[in-house]
Amino acid sequence: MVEKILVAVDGSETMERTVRFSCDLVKVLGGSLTLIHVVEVPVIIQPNLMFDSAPLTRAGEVILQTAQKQVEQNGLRADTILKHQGGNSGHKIVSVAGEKGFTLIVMHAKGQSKAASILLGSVSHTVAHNASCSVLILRP
Amino acid sequence: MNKLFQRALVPVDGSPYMSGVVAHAIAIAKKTNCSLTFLYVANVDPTSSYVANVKPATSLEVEKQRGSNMRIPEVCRQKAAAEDISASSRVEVGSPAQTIVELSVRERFDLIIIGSRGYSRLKTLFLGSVADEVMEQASCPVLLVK
Repeated sequence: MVEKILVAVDGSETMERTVRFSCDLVKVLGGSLTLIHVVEVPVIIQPNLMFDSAPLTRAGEVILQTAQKQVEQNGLRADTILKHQGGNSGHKIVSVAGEKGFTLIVMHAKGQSKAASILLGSVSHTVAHNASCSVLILRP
Repeated sequence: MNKLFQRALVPVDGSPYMSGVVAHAIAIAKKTNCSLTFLYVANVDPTSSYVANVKPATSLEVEKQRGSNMRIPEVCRQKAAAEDISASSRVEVGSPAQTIVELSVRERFDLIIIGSRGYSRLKTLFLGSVADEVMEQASCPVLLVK
């Protein structure tokens, strides 16, 4: 089976390791790499309150470019996907993986979860529980 | 180049989902040259037995469970060895998730390959709790095989 690897990146301090690991992984397993970043749009309760997601979208583009550059420095190439999701971005990662037939999702256990007491962040938790393909959770 | 993984721990439990996990582990071992350790944990945690069976486990029941299941990792090992993969098998006694995580730390495994059993279905929700707990507690990467 040809691996189609989806790597979730969020711009946190663990991203560089996640991308490096994914590059090593694809060199060994073969297949393709795709980077995904999901902009978490706040769920707005009052409909007349407008939320401008443009700055977050731009930040997301920069995150993807940074990760893509790192992949290219490893002599590989990767497609990028930018999505928006109200609330937990894990659900969007799961649906993209399902729709596009990815065989493996790679992500860090914690990502942006800051609290030391949290062992598995909410996004990785959501992905691990809901994805229909295999999931590789990286640590530390 | 450094090897991506050196030693992978593969918990197996004899469930119908297991063969997929074993096949996946063998495929990864072939590509990464890592060794595989197949582990069966005989569950003697009284509370979890109590919840599952609504009665505490007696030592006799534990022995029965171990007797029928302790060959599982060895069967997996032979399957891997038949494909020229360096593999070992072992049986431990304890609470499954805790034992898996502790062993992975103590013996410096750098990957845990574990099956998830359809979390979305209520029927199997509780069965998947071992994978869930391992994922939460592990200090090395975890590959959740679906």
